Amino acid sequence: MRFNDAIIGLVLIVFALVAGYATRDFPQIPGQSYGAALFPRLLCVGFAVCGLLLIASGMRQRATAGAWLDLDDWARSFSGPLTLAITIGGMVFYILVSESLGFIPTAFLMTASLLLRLRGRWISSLAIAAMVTMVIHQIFYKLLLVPLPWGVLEPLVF
Amino acid sequence: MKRMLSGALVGVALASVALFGAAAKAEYPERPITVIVPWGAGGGTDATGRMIAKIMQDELGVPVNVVNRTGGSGVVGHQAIATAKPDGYTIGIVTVEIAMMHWVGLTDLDYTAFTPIALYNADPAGVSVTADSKFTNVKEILDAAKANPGKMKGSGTGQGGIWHLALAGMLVDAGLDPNSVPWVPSQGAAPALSDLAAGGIDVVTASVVEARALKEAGKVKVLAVMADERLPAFPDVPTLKEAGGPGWKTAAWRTVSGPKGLPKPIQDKLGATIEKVYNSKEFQDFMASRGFGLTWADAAGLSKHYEEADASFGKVLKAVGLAK
Amino acid sequence: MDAFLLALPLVFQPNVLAVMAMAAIFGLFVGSVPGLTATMATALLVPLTFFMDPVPAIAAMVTATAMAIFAGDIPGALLRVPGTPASAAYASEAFAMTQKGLAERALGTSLVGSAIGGMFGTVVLVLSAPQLAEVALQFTQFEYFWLACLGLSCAVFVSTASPTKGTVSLLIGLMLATVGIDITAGHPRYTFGIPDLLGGVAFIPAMIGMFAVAEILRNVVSTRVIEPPKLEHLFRVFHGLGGVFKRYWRGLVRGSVLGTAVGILPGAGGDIAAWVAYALSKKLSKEPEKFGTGHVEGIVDAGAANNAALSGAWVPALVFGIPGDSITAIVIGVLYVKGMNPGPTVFMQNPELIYGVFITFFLANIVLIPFGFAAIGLARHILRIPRTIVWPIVLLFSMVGAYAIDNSLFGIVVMLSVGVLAFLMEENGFPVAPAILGLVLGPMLEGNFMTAMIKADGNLLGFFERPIAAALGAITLLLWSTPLILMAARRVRMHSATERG
Repeated sequence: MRFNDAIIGLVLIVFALVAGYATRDFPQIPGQSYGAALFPRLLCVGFAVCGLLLIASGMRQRATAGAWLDLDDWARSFSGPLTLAITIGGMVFYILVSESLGFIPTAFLMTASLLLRLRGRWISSLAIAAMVTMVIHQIFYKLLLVPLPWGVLEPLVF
Repeated sequence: MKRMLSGALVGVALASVALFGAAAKAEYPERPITVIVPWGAGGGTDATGRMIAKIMQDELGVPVNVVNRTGGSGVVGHQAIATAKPDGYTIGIVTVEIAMMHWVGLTDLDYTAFTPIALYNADPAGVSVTADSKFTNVKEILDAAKANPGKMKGSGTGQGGIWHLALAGMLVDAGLDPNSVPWVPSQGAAPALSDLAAGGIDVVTASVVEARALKEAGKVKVLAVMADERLPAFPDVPTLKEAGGPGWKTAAWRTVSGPKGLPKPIQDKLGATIEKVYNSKEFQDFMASRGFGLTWADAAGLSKHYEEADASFGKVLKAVGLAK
Repeated sequence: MDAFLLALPLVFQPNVLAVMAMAAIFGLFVGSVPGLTATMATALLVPLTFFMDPVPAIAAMVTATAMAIFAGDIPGALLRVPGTPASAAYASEAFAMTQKGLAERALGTSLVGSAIGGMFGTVVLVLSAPQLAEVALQFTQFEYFWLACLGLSCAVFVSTASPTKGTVSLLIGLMLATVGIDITAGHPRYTFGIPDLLGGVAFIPAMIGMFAVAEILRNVVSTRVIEPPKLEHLFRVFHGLGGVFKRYWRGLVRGSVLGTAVGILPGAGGDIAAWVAYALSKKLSKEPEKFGTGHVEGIVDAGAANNAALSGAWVPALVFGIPGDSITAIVIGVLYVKGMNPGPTVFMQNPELIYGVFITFFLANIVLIPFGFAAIGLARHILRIPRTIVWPIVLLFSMVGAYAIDNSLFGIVVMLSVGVLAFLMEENGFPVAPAILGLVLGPMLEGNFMTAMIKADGNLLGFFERPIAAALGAITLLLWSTPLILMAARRVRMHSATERG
């Protein structure tokens, strides 16, 4: 998924403008003539300059042969983006429900769906997901004292 | 017959005692208690929190687990304590920042979001200068600041942090502009003190305990402690007033508090438990070995302490121009 | 010397040695799991050390961290996912070696380099702790500002892509570092009202995102079948190492010295040491063009440097109670609990305890070799497992690791966001290493610049007034202008050549 440099350059310039605008109400250090805005503004100038350079190189690319967006093999296929969606979706799912559902069910569902997508074998995928979830839970909860949430399993434990 | 009757009565009495005893135990606590520490593992607050949890566990007979909820400069952890279910199974260590954060607009959370249980630690600010400094007491520093405002630099923590307020409050109390000794922000007391020893700044108002290692190494001298009385561990360090300064006092403190709305019986039970913890030899020895200042206040005392500290920090933050 | 003899029986006891062995296994595990750092290993040991005597307590931490810093190289070399930030500098290089079938060479080099670097740092610690701490104590913001500038120059050297894209990556890292409360003004920047962002973008989850998540995404979508690394010689970890170290002994010495020096400086630890050592190795190498293609030379330097830094960080910690890195910051707390209050007096009051600590340093670095060898042998099995199983497991580990830092789901949010960003960056030819460097050095650069300006009342000349600052500043400016001078010189030479011709 390769964008033409000019597109990235444009994105960087827009980012620099927005981030720079956001510094307008950063306070000064008491007794000094500059403050919290100085460093971010310098960085925004840097982003803008790099953005211009990228636009220039992007236009050169375009002049020779490049497309605005160059899709790799994986991005052209149907399966690549689907796997990407399942992987990222699994993490989002974990972030959203792990506190209420609990670590063990959430992690199992997330790992099982990704394993299933990558391997396609039901029984072994579910077995591996269950095993991995329990091992990680034991290591982090028991050994390293990380308070992984119990969620719906709480009544069974206490 | 009479014997039998009395025997039966004793039996009933014993049974009822056992029964009520059991019932009382089933009330609180009957499952593990979580103590939320809003600062990182390995730090001072974490160490004291873990020690309290360990002794509490022996006292209460249920597991007491410490959970570090760090990040967000303490806001995240304090919020986690305040929003926990007020059932006594989640309490936390609330630190001095609670009386400062809301003034500078970082959060809406203040001490009213908590049920006070006990105050167990306070470390007063000190006034430290380099060992070869020309200053021998606080009065000379204040005079120099008055004569040449802006020339001397102070440090000890970030802008608007506890030790910054210690210095600014001292200056305001002495009738000076709080910015007459500009603040050089630092990532905490240790870098500020090493900077002081390296000659980069003139005065550090971090706690006396934090200055101890460099004091003992002969690199810095501590001219005063910002408290009403000298510290038992540092009998040679005079109070601010004795050193020619105003009567200002500031300390970093730590408390055990629960979320707002904790039932009174649970608050009392926890208060009594923490008092036992505080008075145990193990806790006293631990605090002494780490150099933490021991200060005790029960729920009522802590409630008053919260109010006073909040008002005093608000006053100083407004004077320095950091309050929103 | 008497103290040394008194210290021997304190260390060579069955229970102390057993504690060290357990700590070694613990450290190897924590270090080789991406997302769990040596700092975290130390923090997790703290509650356990409450129940130990001083010497075993400290020994456990020394051993666990030495093992963890080495173990971070194992997933770095085999999966291109560094186990700890200290391995990030050369993970790509080591992985390139693995792809060439040189996994055993990469890991053997880093294992022996780690042990030698750690040993060197220990010797420095033992011999010169007090004197060196004096020097480090002279550093103020002016000096630290120049150090941060020197660190940033590394980004240019370590990056292989186009200079513009490398700079953009560096700027992204620096920009991420501005998020959170600015300590110089006490004002929250770019936090969007989210309390979790007040403390800034958490470094560990960000690192896991950049290295682990981006790598996982790249791999799961890949339609290519990845050639499994050639592993037939993996048990011959030490084969041919003599030649490597004979050839690059200068790098070994350089990495050890540099790592120790960076470790001694407060605030800079093994991760920065590895970056600087790797960059310097490339700069001084006779074959800089081979770097990044699976060349062992940089691994010699950087592998030694991060373990040397680990020992070096103890110098200011023991002598002045000022932490040299985040690990010793935790250790100082434990020293107080154990009644070994850091400061010059500890050398007089409890000399046998200090010597006991020194002996455990030597022991830890010696046992690093057999334990590390065993760990490499076990890690081999990771590669036998099909990738389709490994990545979901690494993903779950990474998520729990990102969560465990603050016990907060927000760590996973940061990990995911930064991971997707890094994935897109690499797809478009932007290197991610400079971004991580920017994230580490950003606060140091800005904070020190701002506070130095406050101190100097806005006078820029203040950056050259102190002798050490002036020297560091001169080195930095020289380093930055060298390419320009060389270019100018080449032009002049070419010009005069054409004139003569």
